Amino acid sequence: MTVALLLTSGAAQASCLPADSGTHMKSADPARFAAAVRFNPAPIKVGAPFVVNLMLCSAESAKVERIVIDARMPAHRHGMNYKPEILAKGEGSYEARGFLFHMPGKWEVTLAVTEAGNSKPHQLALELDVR
Amino acid sequence: MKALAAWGLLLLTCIAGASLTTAQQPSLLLTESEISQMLDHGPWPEPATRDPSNRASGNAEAIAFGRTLFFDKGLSITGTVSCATCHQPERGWTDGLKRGQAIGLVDRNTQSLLNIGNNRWFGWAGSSDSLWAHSIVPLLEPKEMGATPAHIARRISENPAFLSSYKAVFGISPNEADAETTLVNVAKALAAFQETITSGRTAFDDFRDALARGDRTAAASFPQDAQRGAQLFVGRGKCNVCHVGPAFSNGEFSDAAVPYFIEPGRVDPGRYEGIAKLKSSPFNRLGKHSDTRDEASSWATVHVEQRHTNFGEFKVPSLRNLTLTAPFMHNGSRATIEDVVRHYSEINVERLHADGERILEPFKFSAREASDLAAFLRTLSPRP
Repeated sequence: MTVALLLTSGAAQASCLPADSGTHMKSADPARFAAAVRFNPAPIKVGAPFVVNLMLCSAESAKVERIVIDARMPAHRHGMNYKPEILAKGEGSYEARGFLFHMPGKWEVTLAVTEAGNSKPHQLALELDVR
Repeated sequence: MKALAAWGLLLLTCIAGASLTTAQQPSLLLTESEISQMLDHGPWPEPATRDPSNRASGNAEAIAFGRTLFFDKGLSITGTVSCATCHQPERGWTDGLKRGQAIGLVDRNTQSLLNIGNNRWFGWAGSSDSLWAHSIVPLLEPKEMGATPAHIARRISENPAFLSSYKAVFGISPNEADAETTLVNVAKALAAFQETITSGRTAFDDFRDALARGDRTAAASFPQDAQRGAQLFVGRGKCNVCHVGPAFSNGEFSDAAVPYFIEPGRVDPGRYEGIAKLKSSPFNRLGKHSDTRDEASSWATVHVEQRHTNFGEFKVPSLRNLTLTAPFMHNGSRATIEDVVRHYSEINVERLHADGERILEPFKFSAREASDLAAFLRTLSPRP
């Protein structure tokens, strides 16, 4: 069972991310927020829990107020059976637990970052093909 | 003219002969993509794992004690039924009935115990997060064994052999004043035994392993109808969306458009109720009876969340051992493997409660396709 990364656009503009920070997520506004993820264990196996290690940064030094991470299968119109929890580890590093993909196919990891003083969250996403 | 006819007859004979020879040669029908998907269903058997929430898991004395308890009718309040009343070894550890029949008629089909140890959730609704916690359910359920914790503690105390085994395994005496602990320990011994109930290799496993080592000649001996069925399984049938991995189940829950009325006016909410029961259970992995505080043991209980789409969802069963475990579905409403294939072939998507999910559709299998798919499913059971 393997996972292939399909969308990594935004990487070129995500200069605030360290070089070895993982797979870059697609960001609606990379200058505002950029994020990269690593999965543990990797590769992701269908039916097996995994942890998402997230690196988040802002080239414009935007202050993060709230982060929500989740995953869904767009084609099936459903998400996971579990609600992940994200913990700040400091210096833009986060750890999200409670992930399990219960079906093979295309999944999308979604990240909603709300900055202080702005109620509309920034959306980031990473599409994965999981077998 | 006669000569021409003779030549024609000879030619026909040659063609027929060639066709016969070709038909007799087993061939590997699967594409590389299909082969790759077959490999995901093995190897088998899976390695045995111990349950860290159960200190009796894997303990030989506990397994022997659990085996004895499993067949003991004295654990029931009436003294008339044991675990083995519904989970009969000679019937694939189920009972052959549409719905279980113990002290009373149970609401759901009796699930097989084969390979139960490697599950994440237990029961059709996943109301338990460990095998020991789920073993408590039938002990106390009035329609099943109808016992009380005090009855269980008395049964252990009054039987010298049980008393001796209990002390040996758990290092304490059963205590009616703390009957709940005795109940939990009895359930942990029962779970230790049930973890040893596994099924062996099948024709499919030989096929899958031949594919894994690149032995196309050996793989080609897998029956042609079963190979066509395997192609349907990972192709148009999309069966492997839910029936994944070596056990042919993702261990989760799905709405398969099976009616969820137990009887007129009484609904089985399935997973929706199962999550509520799990979260409120004093016997879940977050409770005081769990033998570990390790987060890896309880992560699923922490993170599972009840949603309205859980209504009418039931456990995705393993497809191994189907020839031993009929009838099928949570309510035992499908008598044969062919009936199950027909269910998915003609599925009524209007019955699906989970809105928006687009996995199932009427597959409209031809008679030959249905037969091929059933032939493949039979290869997932031990050879007769």
